[in-house]
Amino acid sequence: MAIAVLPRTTAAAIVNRGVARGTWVVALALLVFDIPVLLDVFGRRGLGDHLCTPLIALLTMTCALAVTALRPVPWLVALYLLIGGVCVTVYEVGILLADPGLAAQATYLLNRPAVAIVLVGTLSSSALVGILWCALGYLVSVSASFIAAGLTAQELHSGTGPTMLFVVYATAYLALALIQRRQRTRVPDFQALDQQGERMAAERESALRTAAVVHDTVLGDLAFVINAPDELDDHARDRLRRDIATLTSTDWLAQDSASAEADRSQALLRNRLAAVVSELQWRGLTVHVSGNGSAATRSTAAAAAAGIDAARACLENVLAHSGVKVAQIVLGQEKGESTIMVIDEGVGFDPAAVPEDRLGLRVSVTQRVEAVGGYVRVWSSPGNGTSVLISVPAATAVGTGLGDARS
Amino acid sequence: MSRRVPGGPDARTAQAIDPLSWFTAPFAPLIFGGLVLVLGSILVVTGERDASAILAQLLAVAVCTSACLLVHIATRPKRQAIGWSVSSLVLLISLCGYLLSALNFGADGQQPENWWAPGAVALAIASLAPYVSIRRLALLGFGASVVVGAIGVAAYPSGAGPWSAWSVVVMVTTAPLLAVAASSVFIATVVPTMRRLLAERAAAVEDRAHAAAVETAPVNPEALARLTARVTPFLEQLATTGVVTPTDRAVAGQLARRLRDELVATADASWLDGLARGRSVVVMDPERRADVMNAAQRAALTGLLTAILDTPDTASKATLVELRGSDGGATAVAVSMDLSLPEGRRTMHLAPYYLSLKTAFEGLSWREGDLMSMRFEVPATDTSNG
Repeated sequence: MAIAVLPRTTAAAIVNRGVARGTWVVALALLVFDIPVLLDVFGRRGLGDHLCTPLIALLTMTCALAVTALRPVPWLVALYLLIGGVCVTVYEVGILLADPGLAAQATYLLNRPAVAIVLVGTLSSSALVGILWCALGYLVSVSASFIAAGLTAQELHSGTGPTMLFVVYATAYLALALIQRRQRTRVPDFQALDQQGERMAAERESALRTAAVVHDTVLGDLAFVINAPDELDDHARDRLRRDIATLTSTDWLAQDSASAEADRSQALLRNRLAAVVSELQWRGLTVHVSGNGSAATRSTAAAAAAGIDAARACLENVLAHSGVKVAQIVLGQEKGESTIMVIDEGVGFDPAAVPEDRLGLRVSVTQRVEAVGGYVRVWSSPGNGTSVLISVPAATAVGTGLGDARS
Repeated sequence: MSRRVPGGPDARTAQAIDPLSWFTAPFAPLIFGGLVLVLGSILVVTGERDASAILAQLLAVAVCTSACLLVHIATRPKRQAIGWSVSSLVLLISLCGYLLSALNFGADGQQPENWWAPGAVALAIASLAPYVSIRRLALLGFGASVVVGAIGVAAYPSGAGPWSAWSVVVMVTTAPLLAVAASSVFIATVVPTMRRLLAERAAAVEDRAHAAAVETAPVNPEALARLTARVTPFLEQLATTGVVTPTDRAVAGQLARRLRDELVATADASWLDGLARGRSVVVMDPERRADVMNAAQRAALTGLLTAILDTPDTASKATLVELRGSDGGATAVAVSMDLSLPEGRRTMHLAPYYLSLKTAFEGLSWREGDLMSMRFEVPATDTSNG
């Protein structure tokens, strides 16, 4: 899970889009709110016969704006400005011809479409583009009012409305542009932080896996040497040589490719489990393998290897601590996971009483399996044996023949 | 694994869903306050003729401006999200300014269409837009618009010039109602879009992290060589000769003890210990709680610590990170630092990191003083992911 912060460019684009949509709504509402005022003023002045022209211009502009707001692409916005400019002119000419006195007395009524046309915007990711469109709308607004005044031989009476609204919106867009510019320098690169976190997690997993390998090989060998007879037999010497080879060649420990060929991968895993069972037999532990191994769910090679390595560590514990010479491995599959159960009927132990510095179960089993997305459950109590369930994530089901491994 | 969206799944404000969009200057409420002050003053000075009326109107402008100023102060990064009381107070102050203006406006026969005060109320509503939900903005905004209309009618009971009382109501309420509509559309655009994108981004990264998790990290050859440098020749010698002497057993015992100590140290070290290594940071994490943080929490904390440690101007003389488990399974985290920056600059420097911590952790608090400290919590339910 990444840190829950959007890239600044994305966040800026969404905020700009929110402002642009708000702008369209204000423009639409200005035109709609003008209709009752127009009806009221013309009704009170007995100008009903002249209502048609400004009303049609107002409705035409409202429809054009609604269509443009649904899909505010630049060419449609430009077309809206053209149509809107004509509507503003027709609307103002209609009012001024109906009652020239309204120019001075009812600027609010006269300039509503001229105010609304200032409020244009596009869904651009740049706030500065919003200012440009507002400026263009303001230019159209002023030009249309000039033309209307010229056609009716009146003085310009568009009032301060268009200018005030242009200042408000241009300031808001400018502030947004400055905020977003500052954010690019002030907000940390969270993507880099995410990557750094992933890198640290990978390094930690790597350190734990290295520790697990050392624990399983060198530490076991040193314990073996401490208790070994004066003369080592061939099997013991082979074991030491094999572990040394493991330590000096880490190729087999490297991360497995997910794209590795499946059959080859499964054959390797099958051989590794058989090798583990065989080796422990030589060292005096009889291991019975049963369960649904012939159709074991295929995990990635890495996950299955982790499961087998963890099972091997469990069998080492049985050999070292349980007091019995027989253990059982039960292979199984559930939806989405492959399981390996290691069971012995030895002396058992209290899992809650294991000291923190005991690494066998913690590093070689639990942390190793958790590193590949799996989990481990331990059931044990003094005198009642031990069962360890190792579960690793699975992918698709293929036959593996693991159930054929018996000793 | 729960996908945490900033401010929680109930985040309904633009600030809660993306706090980082609103902490840098120029601040939106101050911009709106500035517009009220400048445009209001211009209209008053150019419209009124009586000196006492100008003074009264300028006072009203100042009151309306202070409403936007209150929004700015109440929404600073270290403060909690503003509630109903602060939002209501903002509009109440603005309405007081509007009322003050209404008492003195129109004495010179001024028309309601030239009245600056409805626009000031509208800008106060707009200044709340990033910080409140649609529901609250609509309720308070409509309420304020009704009051604006009522005061407008009281100021012009029989209309004015060509305008009937009804037209006056439309004229004075247009600005606040438009502010409500525009702000609502803004919130309705920003919040759901950001929530969807954040959820998609979290899902994509989660899938990537899961894919990475099921593949085993490679063994570190250098670490392996360091750990086994002395043991490997010893074992090679035994494998070659096949003879174990009492001295060999004693050497094996010593090597095993040393190796065990190193392995325990490796197993005990969390990612936070790795980050602190070689720097002036002390990590107190006896229960290895750092490893229960998810990737987002690790990134947020890494960002804060890196900002404290790697910026020459702000380098902390001593930084202490403590992690403790609580009864409910949550993990309490406290970061204490001794920064040489003055408080204002310190706050602005750390604000983005504080806000990113806010998106990843719960119960975040910030305490100023000689030794500045931040406290937050990793919820128990978040501890199963990575």
